[in-house]
Amino acid sequence: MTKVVAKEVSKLYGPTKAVYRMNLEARDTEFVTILGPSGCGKSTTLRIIAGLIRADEGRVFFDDKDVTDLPPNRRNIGFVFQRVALFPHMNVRRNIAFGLKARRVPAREIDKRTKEVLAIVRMEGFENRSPSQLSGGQAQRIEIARVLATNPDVLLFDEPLSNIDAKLRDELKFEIRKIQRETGKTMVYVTHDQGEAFAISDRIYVMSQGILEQVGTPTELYLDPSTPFVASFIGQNNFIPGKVDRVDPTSGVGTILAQGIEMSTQIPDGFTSGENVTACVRPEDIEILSERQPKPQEATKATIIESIFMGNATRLHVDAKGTILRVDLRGQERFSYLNVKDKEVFLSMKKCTVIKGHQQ
Amino acid sequence: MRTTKAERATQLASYGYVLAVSVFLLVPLIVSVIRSLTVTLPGGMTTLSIKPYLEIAEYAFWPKVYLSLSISITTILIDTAVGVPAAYALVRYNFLGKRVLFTLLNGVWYVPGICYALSLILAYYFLYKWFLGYWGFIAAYTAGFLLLMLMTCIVAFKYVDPCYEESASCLGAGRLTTFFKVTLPLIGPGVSAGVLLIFVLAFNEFITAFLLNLPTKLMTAPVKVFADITRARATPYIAAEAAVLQLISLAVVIIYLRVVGTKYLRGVVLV
Repeated sequence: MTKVVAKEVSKLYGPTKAVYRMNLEARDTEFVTILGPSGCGKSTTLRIIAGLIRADEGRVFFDDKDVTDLPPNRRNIGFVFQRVALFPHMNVRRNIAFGLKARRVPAREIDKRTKEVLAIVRMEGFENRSPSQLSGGQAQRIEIARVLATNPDVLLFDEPLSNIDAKLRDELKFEIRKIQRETGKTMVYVTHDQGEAFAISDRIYVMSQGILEQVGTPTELYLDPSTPFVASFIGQNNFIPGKVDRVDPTSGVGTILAQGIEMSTQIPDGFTSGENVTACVRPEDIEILSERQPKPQEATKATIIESIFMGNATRLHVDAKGTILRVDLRGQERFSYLNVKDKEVFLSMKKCTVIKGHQQ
Repeated sequence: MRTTKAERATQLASYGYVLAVSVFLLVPLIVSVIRSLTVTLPGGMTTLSIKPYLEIAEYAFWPKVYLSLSISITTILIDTAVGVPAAYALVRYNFLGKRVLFTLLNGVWYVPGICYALSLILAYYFLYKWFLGYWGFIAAYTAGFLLLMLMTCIVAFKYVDPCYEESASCLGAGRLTTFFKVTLPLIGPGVSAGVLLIFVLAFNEFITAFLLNLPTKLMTAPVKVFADITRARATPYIAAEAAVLQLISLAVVIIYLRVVGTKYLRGVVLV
């Protein structure tokens, strides 16, 4: 069991900061995901941890051991690549045996270990197949088995499911999570898919343009984004520019006035009355009040412009005092507003997050 | 499923085309073999005989064949040992002047053979007068044919995804293990193509061998055939020599592809 720490690591390509002063910690047996859009530096960070890229600055520690100057083959890691990297000239058995042979494990032990890891990934009987005879999902499973065979201290996964079709991807992500739990390995996982990250991670590091934006559990990131980027990247949000109207210094509850819409919410420390802020309201946090429901003082009058049925939800586009908002209706309610247009309704903001400045 | 008339016609045309190309390529060999087996009797009559093949031994042809084989194989070994790591370095590492070096290497293709051969001879004359025996030949051939190995391996390395090497390293393999167990097998087709090209061209090389014949007094098989032609014209035993050279080239290529091409270095275009 190993703790992984990347301390202030930076990688520059000319003037471009691929990764800048990134700090990451994956505790013993923890499943940590680095999440971000393409080119945000997440894979570079992972490759620095693996030793495949040398950081220009910063250090990498496995437990308390500084591994910054060690090559990958001396870090005892398991790395699963985005593209399947099974050696095409070796069958499954030889692929799995490769890492064990490099460690001079006796042949009998190699056979035993091969069977064990194939059982873990549910691929028994595939020993003599060549990589070209495997489907994408099967190949990725064998890749995981090959990595597990060497009993690495740390598992590093670089978008392993991005080339796999959606249905299989959904199945495999939970399998990866299950394997990680069963083996108790520390894992650092890279993905651009927030659904994937939320489903399997203990904690998520969100990166953008080479820097760390926010660290937190999936719930923390979703409910309490601390930067405009995280607010816009994680899930969907309506961004409404406005001002802090008033704050109760005791409870911290305040009112935001944004484009004529009034919202009560918990105001974080450091915000003052009159300050420019952006209210972030998720489409599913806006409630459409029925005609019979009592209308609170803050209820906002709006007009439904468009209704789009999306299967598990119905998306409404509403005009609230000149601001176009997205509203998601779930459950049975989603059938109540099919094909509705130009209807006046009252909106209630169940929850909103406040970030500094005006964010579009 | 029934084939239509158009499909059958296309199929026939394809077979015809392949046959025509094969005949075209094999005509020189066939003509040489026929000529080498045709002997003129004292009365002017011609008959088939293997006598010319027995005669070539009398004209000291076989030692020249051994010399050509020896030079070709040594050239292949040295060029492989030098070319494969050099190609690896050129593809995988960035260094100052890499582009210039590539341009120069490619430029050598456009130099006429005679000029390149002469340059080599002059270089060896002036720089390495002590280097003009068998190893002078080897030096000239390895320098002349290194590019073939280098280029075929560079192309092969470029097609090998670096993630295989990275993966091997993450699995605990050192650089040498990674190179010999992962990278080298994956560039097999490139090495095979280089080996075959060098063998065929070195074994049949004439210009450099002809120029080197003067200072070294060493005569390769193709130069021997040329010398015999200028002396005795196209007699049956010279046709036999030519046929032997072609058959050796063909046999070596076929044996190589059968033995090596289908095993360790599979994937050669000709297999």
